[in-house]
Amino acid sequence: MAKKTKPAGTAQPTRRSRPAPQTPEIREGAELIVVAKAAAGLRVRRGGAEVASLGGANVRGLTSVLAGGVRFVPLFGNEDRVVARAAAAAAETGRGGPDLSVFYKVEAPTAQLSALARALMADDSVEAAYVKPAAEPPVMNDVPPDMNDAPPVTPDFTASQIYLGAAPGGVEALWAHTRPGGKGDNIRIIDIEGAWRFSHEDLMQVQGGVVGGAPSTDIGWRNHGTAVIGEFGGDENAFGVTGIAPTANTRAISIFGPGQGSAKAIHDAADLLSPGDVILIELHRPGPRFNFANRSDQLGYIAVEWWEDDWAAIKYATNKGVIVVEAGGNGAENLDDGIYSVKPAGFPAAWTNPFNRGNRDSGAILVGAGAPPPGTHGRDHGPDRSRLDFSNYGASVDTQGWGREVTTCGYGNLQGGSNEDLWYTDTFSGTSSASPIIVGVVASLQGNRKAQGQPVYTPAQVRAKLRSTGSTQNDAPGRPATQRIGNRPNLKQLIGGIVKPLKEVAKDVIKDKELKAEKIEIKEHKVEAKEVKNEAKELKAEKLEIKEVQKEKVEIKEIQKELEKQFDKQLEKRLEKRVEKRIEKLADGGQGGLGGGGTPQASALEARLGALEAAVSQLTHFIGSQLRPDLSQGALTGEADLGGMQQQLEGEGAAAKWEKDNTER
Amino acid sequence: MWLLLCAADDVPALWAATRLTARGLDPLVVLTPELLHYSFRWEHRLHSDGASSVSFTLAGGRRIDSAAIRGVLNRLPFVPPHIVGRLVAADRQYALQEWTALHMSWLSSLRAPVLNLPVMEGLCGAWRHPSEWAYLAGEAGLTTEVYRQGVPGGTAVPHAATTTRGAAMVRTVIAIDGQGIDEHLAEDLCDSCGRLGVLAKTRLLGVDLDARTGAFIGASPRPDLREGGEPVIEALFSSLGGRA
Repeated sequence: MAKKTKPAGTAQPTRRSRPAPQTPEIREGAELIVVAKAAAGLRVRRGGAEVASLGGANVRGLTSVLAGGVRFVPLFGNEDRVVARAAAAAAETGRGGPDLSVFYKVEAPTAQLSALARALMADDSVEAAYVKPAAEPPVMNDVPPDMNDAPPVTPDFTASQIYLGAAPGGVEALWAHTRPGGKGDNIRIIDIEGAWRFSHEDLMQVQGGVVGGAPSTDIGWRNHGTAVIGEFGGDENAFGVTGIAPTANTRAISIFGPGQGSAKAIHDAADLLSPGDVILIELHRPGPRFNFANRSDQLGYIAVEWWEDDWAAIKYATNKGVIVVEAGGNGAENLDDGIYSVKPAGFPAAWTNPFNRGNRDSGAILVGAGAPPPGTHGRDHGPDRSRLDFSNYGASVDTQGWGREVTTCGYGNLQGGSNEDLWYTDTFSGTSSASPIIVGVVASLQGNRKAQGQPVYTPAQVRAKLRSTGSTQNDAPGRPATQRIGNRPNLKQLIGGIVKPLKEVAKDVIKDKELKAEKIEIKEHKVEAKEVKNEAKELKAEKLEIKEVQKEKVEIKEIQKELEKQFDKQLEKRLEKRVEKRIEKLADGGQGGLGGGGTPQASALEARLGALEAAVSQLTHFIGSQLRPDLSQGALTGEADLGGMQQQLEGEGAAAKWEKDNTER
Repeated sequence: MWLLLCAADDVPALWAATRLTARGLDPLVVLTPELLHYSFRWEHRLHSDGASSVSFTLAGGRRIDSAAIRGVLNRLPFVPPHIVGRLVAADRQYALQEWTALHMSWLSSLRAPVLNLPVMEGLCGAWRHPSEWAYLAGEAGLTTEVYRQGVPGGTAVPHAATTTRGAAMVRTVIAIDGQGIDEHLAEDLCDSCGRLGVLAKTRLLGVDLDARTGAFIGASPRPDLREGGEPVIEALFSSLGGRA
């Protein structure tokens, strides 16, 4: 499992065209996964040596394939138990999930896996049969330990753990430690990969060891697992490192061992955890870019959820409410590339690209690797929070953690010697080092929720929070922020300022006791005060009503006067005209006259005038003053003068046209 | 510098400009189609290594280089025909196509974030047929009305008649970079709006929902940004590469 060291900040993965497909070399650790047709109702007997079909499907072909000592193992355990468990989970959560009873793993010599997959695909009861390339830890450094023995007491390396500190460089973990539950209290984490050193001096306090699979004996895997756990689970003490969530319970499941694999490990972890707990998948695999071939430079490696069985296991976990944090992979790949939507031979017919969450969504949080602040440990990997050259990127990558310069346990290049339990590094890298940072942040966030008596966040809520808060991704030469790896989390923003620091809470508790007696008294006074207040309110309301009525009266009077004036003027004009006409008529010798005052026409006019005056006096506004909006408090108060901007832009446009027209003539 | 490409009367864009500037996207230059097309000089260089650069000099002498651009909020749906009005009629269509091509090349070559990038179906993101939107919305998990369309020889049923747009109170959810932004909306609806943005390959998308039922009504790559208020401005600020 040896991995080549990639010098910090120097490697620039070159873009490449898709090579011609050829059968990849299958490495030890590859898995042959079979997905049976649900209707076949396959059931394995005699420890995987025999297969029967409840659905009456012809399984002779399958049986003949298994004849040569090959074992056919239900991937997630006995089929009937898996069905029963899924039904119970669905009843509990109200959510169905993928049918896990149709997944099988074929145990056979690695060299035979490809041929077996082809043969199995020919069987009527088989929906899919594919070989998953061996999973690897997504780490970018594999450094030798320092040969000098460690000092009698390990120094305190926390000053070197800048990722614990203030944003934007860090994730505000030290701040979160001052919040109730912010150290990950009552949260459980399971790390899924190959091996760990749980006897490490800085991983002693809240850990439950390996709870599944058989750890690899490879020191690369062991250093990797130890470094991962150190980031979120490093003990709180005066030496070494301190984890982001040091009080969270940490356990591990290996992907190795009989019947074991990555999907089974994820599934088993989900069964051991409760909603709000966290699974970390510290794996990635060679993808289609280089025909699924394992390679030392890890180019083309992608997150494991692309494979159907791993996706189903993750979905099972997230449906349970368990938060799944998944390394995005070190393949330097754009996960939005069309190559990931091409269904490989042997995949289920209904498979769609899970990196396109419009197709389907595992619910996992995909993590990219971002550069630490330049100058960390005297090195520069590009602008802070820019994508590191090896990190996969794309719309489905939710958030970023430090992908270089992570100080944690293991490897021994910061403190080495002959005793592995004392090893530390300050160069842990990759989406491997980025993902545990996110796990620590999530554990801290959920611990705080629990401590406040609030329900823990669901996987979707955690993802949404990580995507919508934090310190934003930066551009780097050739690696613009449009190559999305998301934001670096900020626990201050995630937890928010609602909760008071522990000291203040303690003070409040003391004060509470002292004030309890006083409070009872105050309560009684309050009741009285309330009654008085209510009375005052009623009086005020009455007063206001009276004032408004008075105002209305004044307004009505003013309007009446105005109308009267207008009416008088019109009337005067009309009368003058009539008088003139009459005079003209009289002058012409016509009938009627003005003399003798009190003529019938004059009294009729007076009567009409009186009626009109009475009608005007009845006029009221149809929108009373109390119903009119107060424009001084309007929604547009303080709004910028967009009309002015519009006019200015139109003016500039017209001026530009004029200039252009006149210059070109 | 950040650019806002919009028509002079695009009030939602001007509103966003004032808000983004206040938040720190400074300098934010508002460029109207007139300012762009009546500029003195355009220079678009495509280099042999695939890189490219664009610079143009506006009337009045102001110069804008692609290297200095840190983000673009693009709300120009097409090149407005009036800017080629001074050409002879026979040349206008050709000139419009050339301008469109230049816009696409310029914005696509920028290394800075562009919301939205131009595509063949629209300069600020694809304008799709209602049937396409309905299909994508369904894929994104949104409830959609049954879509009916007339067949040759049959009775045509206009789309508008089959949706609730005419009668419904419309609620616009702005989706930016796959995130539906509306804190008062149910989380799954918000997620679906975000997914629709991803499926439509449109970083900034307005999704119109029936305010009562949450059913999908329509979508636009040039939404009224005011509908989303400050949270949308915050998301835009972040997506355009602004730093708090």
